Amino acid sequence: MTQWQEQNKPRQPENPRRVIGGYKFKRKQGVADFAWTADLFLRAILAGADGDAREEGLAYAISGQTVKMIPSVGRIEADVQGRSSRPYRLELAFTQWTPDEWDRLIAAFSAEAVFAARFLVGELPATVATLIESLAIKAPIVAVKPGGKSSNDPVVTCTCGATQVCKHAVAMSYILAERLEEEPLLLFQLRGMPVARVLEQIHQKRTLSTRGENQAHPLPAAASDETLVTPLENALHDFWRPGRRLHEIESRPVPTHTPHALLRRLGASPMGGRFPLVGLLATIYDTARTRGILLRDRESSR
Amino acid sequence: MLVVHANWSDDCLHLWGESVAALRESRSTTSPTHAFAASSKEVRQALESVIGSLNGAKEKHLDLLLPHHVDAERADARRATPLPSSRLAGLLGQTSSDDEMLTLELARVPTIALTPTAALQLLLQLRDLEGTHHEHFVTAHAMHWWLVLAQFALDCVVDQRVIPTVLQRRDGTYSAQWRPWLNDPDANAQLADLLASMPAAARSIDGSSDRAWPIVDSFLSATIDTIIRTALVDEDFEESIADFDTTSDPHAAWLSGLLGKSDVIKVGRRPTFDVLRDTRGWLGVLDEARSTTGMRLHLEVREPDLEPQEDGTDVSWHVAFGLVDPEAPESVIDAQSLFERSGGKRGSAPSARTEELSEMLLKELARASRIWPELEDALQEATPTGLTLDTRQVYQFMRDVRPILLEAGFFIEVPEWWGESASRINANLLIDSPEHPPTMADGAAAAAMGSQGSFGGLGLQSLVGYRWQVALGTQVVSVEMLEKLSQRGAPLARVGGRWVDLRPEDIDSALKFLRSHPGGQMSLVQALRMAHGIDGPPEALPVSGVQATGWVRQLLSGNDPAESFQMTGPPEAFRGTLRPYQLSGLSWLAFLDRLGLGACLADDMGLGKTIQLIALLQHDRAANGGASSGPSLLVTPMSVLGNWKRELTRFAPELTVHIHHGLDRPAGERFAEVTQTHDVVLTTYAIVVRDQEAMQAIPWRRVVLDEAQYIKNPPTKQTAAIRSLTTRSRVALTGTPVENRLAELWSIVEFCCPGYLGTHQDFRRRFAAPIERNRDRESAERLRALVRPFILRRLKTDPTVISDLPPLVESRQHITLTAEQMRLYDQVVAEMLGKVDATEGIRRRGLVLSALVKLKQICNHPAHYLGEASGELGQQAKRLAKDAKSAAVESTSDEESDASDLTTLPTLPPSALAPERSGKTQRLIEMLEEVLAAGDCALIFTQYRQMGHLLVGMIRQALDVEPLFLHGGTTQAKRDALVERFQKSDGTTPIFVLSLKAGGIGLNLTAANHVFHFDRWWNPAVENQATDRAFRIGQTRTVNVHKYICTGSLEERIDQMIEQKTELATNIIGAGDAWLTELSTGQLRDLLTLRRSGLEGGE
Repeated sequence: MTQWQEQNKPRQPENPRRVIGGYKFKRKQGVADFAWTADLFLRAILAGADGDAREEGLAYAISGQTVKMIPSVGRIEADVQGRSSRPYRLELAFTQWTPDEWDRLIAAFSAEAVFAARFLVGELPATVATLIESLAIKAPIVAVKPGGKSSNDPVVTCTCGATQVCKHAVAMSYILAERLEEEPLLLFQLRGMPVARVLEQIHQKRTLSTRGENQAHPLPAAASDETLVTPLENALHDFWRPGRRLHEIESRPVPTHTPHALLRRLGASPMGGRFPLVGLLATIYDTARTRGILLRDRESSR
Repeated sequence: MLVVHANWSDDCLHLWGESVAALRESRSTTSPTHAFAASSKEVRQALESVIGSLNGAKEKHLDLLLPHHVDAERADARRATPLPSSRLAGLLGQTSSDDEMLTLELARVPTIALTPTAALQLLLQLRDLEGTHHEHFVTAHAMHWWLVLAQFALDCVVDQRVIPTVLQRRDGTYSAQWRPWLNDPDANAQLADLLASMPAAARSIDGSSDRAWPIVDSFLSATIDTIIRTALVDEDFEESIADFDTTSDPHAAWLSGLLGKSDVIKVGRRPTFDVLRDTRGWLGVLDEARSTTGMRLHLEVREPDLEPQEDGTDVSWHVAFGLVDPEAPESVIDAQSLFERSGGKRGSAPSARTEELSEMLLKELARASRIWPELEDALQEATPTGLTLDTRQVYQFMRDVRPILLEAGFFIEVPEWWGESASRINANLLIDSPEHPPTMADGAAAAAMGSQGSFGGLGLQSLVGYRWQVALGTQVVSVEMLEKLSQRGAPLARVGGRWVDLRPEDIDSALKFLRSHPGGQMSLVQALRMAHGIDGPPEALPVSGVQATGWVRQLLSGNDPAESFQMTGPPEAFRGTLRPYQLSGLSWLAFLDRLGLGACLADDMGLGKTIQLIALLQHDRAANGGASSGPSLLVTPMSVLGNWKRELTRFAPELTVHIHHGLDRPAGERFAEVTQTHDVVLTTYAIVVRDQEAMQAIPWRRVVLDEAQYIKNPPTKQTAAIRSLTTRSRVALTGTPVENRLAELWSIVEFCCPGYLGTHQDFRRRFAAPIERNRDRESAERLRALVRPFILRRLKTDPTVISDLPPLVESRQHITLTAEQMRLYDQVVAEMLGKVDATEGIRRRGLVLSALVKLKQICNHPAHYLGEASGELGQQAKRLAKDAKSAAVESTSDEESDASDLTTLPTLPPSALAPERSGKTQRLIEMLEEVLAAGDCALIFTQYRQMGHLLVGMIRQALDVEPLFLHGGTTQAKRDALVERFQKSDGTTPIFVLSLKAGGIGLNLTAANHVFHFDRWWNPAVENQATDRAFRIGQTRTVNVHKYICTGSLEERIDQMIEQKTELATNIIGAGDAWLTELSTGQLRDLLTLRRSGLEGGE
């Protein structure tokens, strides 16, 4: 490329300093077939950038000007090499979901096994976006204002001093989009919780909240089976007697007793090595059993 | 009298009562207070009168949402009155309220509130009292549900299905709690049953949104927590955390909350929340099986290929790994083939599915290794396919580890023989007896007789030879063999081609046992008891039962023809035809009789117990060369005395029968003389008590009890009198499933085979308590084996029986009138005959017709005739009837043209509902009891709507079921609903009372297999049409038709005329009652006068 040619192409950016080993945007297909997460994210960023920044940013992305990109909880830091001697430092700060919003979301995730299953293989199903909306969580998974305008989520700051989304941010966003294509669950981390933690919480079945009623034990399945019980209004003519299924309990044979069955399944205690809880529980279970047998077989005091 | 209800609210069991007295006073209140609720004080007093002081119970009140009548006459719905509970309605004899408009309204009830500890105590006491009657209160139907719930809580503790947990309350405080673990499939299924069967009344607390789970959860947790906490506080468990700082260390605070009196966790919020989170994670492990989707680990124990060597070198067992889909556990993917596939032998890349499965297998193995650490070794390999164990290890795995892995949701397959009692060392008793039993003819036997209560055959006291043997599996082994095995010391051994579980402790006790019990002779009763592990010395050895030779072998095999049981032919001069199963019943009775052993024939109703017994009586004669072998005493309820007489005459006319009944029955010497000249003495339970002395003096050939469930425990005078009789053999007849009713079983067996089941206390301790309370299968099995030789019960559904039964079995029940009925009957006849000659024309007809109606009513029940609902309760009843808008608007159809039509009265006085006042109702209740016990369904037809109401009240009160009732006033929509409900036959409504006119045609009621014609219509075609409601296409079982006829009354006379197809009869049929009015006074006298046949009770 000659000097003349460069001068006659006004939009052609000045060459930045060359970088070796930077992140290069490699997609042959361009942005056309991004999955919904990456696509949405890229649009959100580009909506805030002017035409120059978009084009130059893309060129930067292709030539690999992004030197460093470190996602952490709620934000991403990146260094993008421009024309000056030092790379510009960028930060994308995302709106994080509040602990309360996370509680609601995890509760919803754990209600349907399909979520955990997809997350386990690294996918982010599109239904998550609707779910988030339905749970009245303020920040969507990727924020794009209607009409394609940029919202302030994420807040982009760059040491180049630009007030709008600069070419450095665009360049870095292409790289991030490509990463999101591979790893969409990164978005969870950007919203405040690393995916591993999300999975762990889902695994704990129902999330715990520091407020409201809560308990350490999971509920049995029958507890939430509403079909078992007739509403009072429909039971007026059969109000007083137990239902037939009572006989089934009474005729069910008692299972053979296996000493400490639960305990042996439980494993090490939540107290760690500080206290021999399991040993203590073994004694407690035996004491309780003895007391129970005493009560059960007590002849009437008549 | 109160009906006591229970509700759980605010961690307290609230008891409240409906008061019969308050209902009668019908105090009207404007407040939301329940109109006839008892005061707290009344509830307390009623309960304390039976169960002792209720210390610490507080007087409170509860707001409940209960069903109320809608008062159609008032627009103001707030004036609605509460509907009496099902129990109260039963007490009052109120009839069905299905037609009524009901609404859910608030009612405030005074309560006494019990703490969880006191509540559990009370419920356990009430459980012990179930089935007994108290003067001051009865418990509501829902109470039984609470008892089961309390029992469930207790079972959780005993079975160690409890966990320590942390609760975070709405106000931000934390507490430590013990609660049940209900997430395992079995516990969850039980919980689902408890929730589904929870009565609406138990969740009717206002503001609780009528959900079942919160109440069940709260009750179970509070109960379990109180049991465990009390035990831990008593034993000072809190001391074990004395070294920890419970004020700053959240985990220690949690423990303190679990072990001490107070459950509060008193450290900061944030650290306590961490305890909650940690505990959640810890307990979550228990729930893993539920949260893991996909496949589960399958472990299969495979027997060694090689036989163990004589020199004792061990063999290797293999535990093969695999995966199984919990939804389809029959197909197992074994690890071997899985890894072969994923190893890509043909060089191709493994499919994604194979990869996924391999991954799952590894994860599952890791999960299981937490419970069974041996698996960790296998996990060291890249492709673990199984584990090799030695005999000792595999034994320990199957015995100790397997149950825990199963509960954690893993699938484990072990060899079939594992866990069978036959696979362990067991002792069995070998009884040696000669081919033929000692009989009366044997001198020795005859000499031995005369001991109390038994003579003739030696019966249970016969001496038999016995010795103990020890068996491994099914093979009897010698002492030498045992010693050899013991030296080898392996826990599993190969004996006679199969593996057996060879616990060293078992071998020791077996050896010790054999040395100390060389065998010898003992009585049959001792031998049988010992063989079933009672009175037996082998404490430490399971007793596998008994083997026998000779006649004892026959006895033990029951009447199983496969056991070459000796059949008896039908006796000569017997006029009936015995069906094959009846013949085998006769043979069995005769066999036990020869041995001098008692028998209980407990065949299902309708299989012909009577005819089998009569055949036995005839058989006696035949066996004695056609001569009487001494008098047999037949004790029956009064209502069936006549029926027995008729059946005896019909099937065995050769037998001479003395009916010992009535005021002029012979006494003392004369009675002794009479018995000498009769084969059968027929009497009632009441007379046996009254004439006890005379009866005791007779050496009976046999004593037979019909409806033997009449002898009950605790022993009544009646039971004692019957047991005191001297007889050579005893037979009990009953149609109830005796095996399942333990109190009855003991009484009946105590009659048939005195002493066989031990004292009643002994029986309670050894069998009744473990079986009833703990549903102990082993005890139940042992008891069944023990009584099996003496009880014969065949069901209509038994394959051997069903092929012998015709589709329709009709029987006439000849019922004896009670003294009250006879008195009334005589009065009406006398009055009518006194007037009839003085009148003529329409007046005469009216007189005759009204007398006829009255007589039919008297045959049904005195209350039917006397119109007894107009007594003390009448006013109250009428008020209620008005409130309820019950049957008042129903039109009276001709069939219900009673002179005193009381159908509008939903409440009847207790005396009207006393079945014992009428022979028919008494018999009906007896028979229905058997219908219910067998799980059958019945239709009851009556011509009278009012009698229908009486029957409904009576059945409800006596049998505690809710009968359906269809009569002329029932709307079409309601008819359809009733029919549908009955046909559903879910067991909730097994009895259907119908008026003949309204229900006799059109309906399809094939759910019923019993049809009762409670009173008779002169037209057999109409009756048959009614019978056809049940006996029609769609009916798959034998239909039993029972026609009730009062002996000696016009019912019997007319029935005879129809049967004999007399000329008069042709006039009767189809003509209603009109023909009667045309009869001359002489004919009337002949037809209507009560015929006495010595059956009438003057008592």
